[in-house]
Amino acid sequence: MKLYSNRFKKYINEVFFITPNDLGFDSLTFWFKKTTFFLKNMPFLLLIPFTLIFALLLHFIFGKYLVWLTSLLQYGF
Amino acid sequence: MVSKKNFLIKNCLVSFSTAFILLLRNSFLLIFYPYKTMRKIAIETDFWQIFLIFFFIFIYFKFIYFLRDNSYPASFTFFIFLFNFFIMIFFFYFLVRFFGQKPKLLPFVFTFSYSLLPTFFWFISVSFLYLLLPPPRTVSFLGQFFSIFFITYSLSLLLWKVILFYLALRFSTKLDFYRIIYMITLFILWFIPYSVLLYYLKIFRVPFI
Repeated sequence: MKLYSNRFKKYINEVFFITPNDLGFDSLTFWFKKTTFFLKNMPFLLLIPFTLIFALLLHFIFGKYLVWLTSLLQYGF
Repeated sequence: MVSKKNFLIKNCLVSFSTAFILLLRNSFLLIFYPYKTMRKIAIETDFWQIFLIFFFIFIYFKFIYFLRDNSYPASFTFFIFLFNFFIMIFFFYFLVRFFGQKPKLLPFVFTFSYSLLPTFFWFISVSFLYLLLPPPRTVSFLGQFFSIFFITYSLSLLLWKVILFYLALRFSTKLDFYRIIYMITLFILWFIPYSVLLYYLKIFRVPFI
C-alpha cells in the first residue's frame, strides 16, 4: 500500500512539475490545448501527413527549385 | 587493490549499460510520447546518458571527416559543437534568471542533450544518403520523387526538433508559452548570424544544434 502511495506521490509531483499554460484568453488557451494534445502523443501521425502535403505543395509551386534545395541540403551534413 | 579496481570497472560497466538502455528507451519514447518523456528527462541525474549522446555525436564527426573534402579534424568540429551547445544552454539559463527565476542547470543539460536526437538522426541519415545517392539530384521522375521524400523527411524531423526544443525549454525553465517564444526569438536573433559565420568558416553548413 505504501509502495503505491509513494508511486502515486511521485507521479503527481511529476505531473504538476509545471503550471499549465494560460495564454490570457480562455478561447485561445482552449484551442492551444486542443492542438498541442496531438503533438504531445504520437506527433508523427500528424507531422508526416502535414509535411507530405507541404512538400507536394512546394513541388507544385517551385518545381525544379525543390530538386535544387534537396541537392543543397544533401551537402549540408 | 585488484578487487577494488575490478569493482570499479564492474561499476562503470553496469552504469554504462544501464545508461545505454535508458538512452535507447528515452529515444524511442521521445518519438511516441515527447511530452511525458521530456518531463521525465528534466528530472534525470544520470550523466552517463549525456556522455553517451556526446560520444555518438563524436563518432558521427569522425565518420563525416572521411566523407567531406577539406574538412577540419573531427575533434575540432566536436569542440565547436560543444562550444555552441553550452553557449546556447548558458544563454537560456541566464535569460531565465533575468526573468526573476532561479532555475537549476542540470535540467537544461539533460533536456537539450536529448533534443539533439532529431539533429543527430538527420545528419547521420543525410551522410548515409550522400554515400548511397550522391547529389546533385536531377529533374527526372525519380529525382523529383526523391526530392519530395527528402523534404518531407527533413521537415518532419525539423518539426520534431522544434517540439523537443520547446519542451526542453518548458521543462527546464518552467516558464509559460509567451516567454518561451520570446526567448526562442532572442536566441534566433543571434544564432542565425552566428550560423552564417560558421558556414563561411566552413565548419558547419547546417548548424548542428
